[in-house]
Amino acid sequence: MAQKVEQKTIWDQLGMIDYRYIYAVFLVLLVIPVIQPVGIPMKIGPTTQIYYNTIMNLPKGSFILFHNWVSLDIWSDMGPIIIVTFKMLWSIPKDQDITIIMYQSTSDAAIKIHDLLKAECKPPQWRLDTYGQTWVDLGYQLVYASELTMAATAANFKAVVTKDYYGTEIEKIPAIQRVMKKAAPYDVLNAYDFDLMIWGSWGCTDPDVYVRQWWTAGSPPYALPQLFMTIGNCVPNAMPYYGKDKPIRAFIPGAAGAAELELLTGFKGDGMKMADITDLGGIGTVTFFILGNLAFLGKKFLTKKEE
Amino acid sequence: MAFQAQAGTLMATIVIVSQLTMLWKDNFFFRWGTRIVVAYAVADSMGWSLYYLNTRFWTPFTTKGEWWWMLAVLAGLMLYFRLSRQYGWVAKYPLGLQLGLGVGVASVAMLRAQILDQVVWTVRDLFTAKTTMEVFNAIVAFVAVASVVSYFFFTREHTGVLKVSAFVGRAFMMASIAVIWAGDYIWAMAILAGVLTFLVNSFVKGLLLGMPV
Repeated sequence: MAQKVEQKTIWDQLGMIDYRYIYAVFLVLLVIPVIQPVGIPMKIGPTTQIYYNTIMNLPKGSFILFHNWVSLDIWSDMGPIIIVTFKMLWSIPKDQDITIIMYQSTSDAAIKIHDLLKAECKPPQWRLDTYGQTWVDLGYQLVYASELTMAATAANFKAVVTKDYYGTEIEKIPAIQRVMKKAAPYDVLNAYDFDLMIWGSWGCTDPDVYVRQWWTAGSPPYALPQLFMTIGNCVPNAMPYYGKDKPIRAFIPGAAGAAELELLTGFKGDGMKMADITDLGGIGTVTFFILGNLAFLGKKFLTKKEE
Repeated sequence: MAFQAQAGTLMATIVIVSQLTMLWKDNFFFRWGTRIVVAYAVADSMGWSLYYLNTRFWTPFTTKGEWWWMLAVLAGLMLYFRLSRQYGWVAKYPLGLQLGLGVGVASVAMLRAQILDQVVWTVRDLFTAKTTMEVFNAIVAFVAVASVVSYFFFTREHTGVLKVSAFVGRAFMMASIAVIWAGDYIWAMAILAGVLTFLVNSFVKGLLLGMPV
């Protein structure tokens, strides 16, 4: 008995492209900007502008809390934001008298940040000369082991953080003593003592936690304004808290956001390169979406049905 | 490139390539790399746990006589009873304590930040918006919130006005999911881009060609 050979139409063939070819095309698209940056044009969005203005226009004598909870596995997306933010912080003039207290909550990023502080994000000499007076590096602190730990830190840093990166007890550090005196109780370092919190995370439910523990908690509420360094898909979670009188004053979403910030500040870095890569990858994605849909629609409407 | 950096780059490259081979198909090299990463993560976590046990509990206990920290250690050790079928009930006490504290810390702030403030902001933004874009945003947010809430209103059949508003709410939810998915996709691509950047810059240029990275 002769077997019936099924004829494959062009739509069938289009819809059955081996996925490994698609991977290969993507790899090529993503590698091109790594070897030779394309420089796809972009414009600076309002949140990036607000992020920049919030840091650069802080009132004289303000206290900034910098909390990085970004691990190295997502560094390519968020690292550029952290780097450009550090460069912005270090570019604030000395006469602005801005005090920065920082810590990292992932052990691998803590190593990376300390490498950066010695090289690409090296503080200006006047900051290095005044360590402990104008800025403090608390190193790796497990502040976000759970919401309980974060609540304890916001209420009293001493409950979780005892020493800085160099092993000095935090009460003996002049900058910490100065920050503690900003708001009552004057012998406790807590969320009331800061004017701005810059924090980075890739957990999309983290805006809820940070808003709960650094804005809403406390009696009266801490109401600590925040700048959020994040990844693109956490933006919908940040939006409910975003606004000029809301907890999150601005956010920078992923490498594309970092690229905008680099463009605005002039501190060119990996953000623009990463934005190039994701843009090219996006073009590839849309192309394959179109091809996939063409295959589906072509098969459905243009293939002759058997009588 | 210093020897230490070279060794690190080589090790990272081997593990990265092992993971990328999964794009072709599951294989021994991929599973080996996965185990290396898991082993690293476990060792790192154990190291930090021991560090914290020492600095936060053991040292204050032995040097300052602060014995009460050991109650927390005791509660932590009690958790291990869950491994026993006979004495598993012992673990319920520290677990209950942890759960109670967690819920207590989160719930009050949650009520205000995620419910009351959100209701206030959604309505208030309609009246405080200044620019055309702010007015547009406030209207969209209000319509989205109202329609999505109506979608979850199950005590009455979705007919008439409720049917229309539930449909609009569903459209908003679908749009929201699409945004999250697109963001997730771009994020994954950025991670892959980072990996490729590392392979090209650190491994090929830095390690193989000896160029400055």
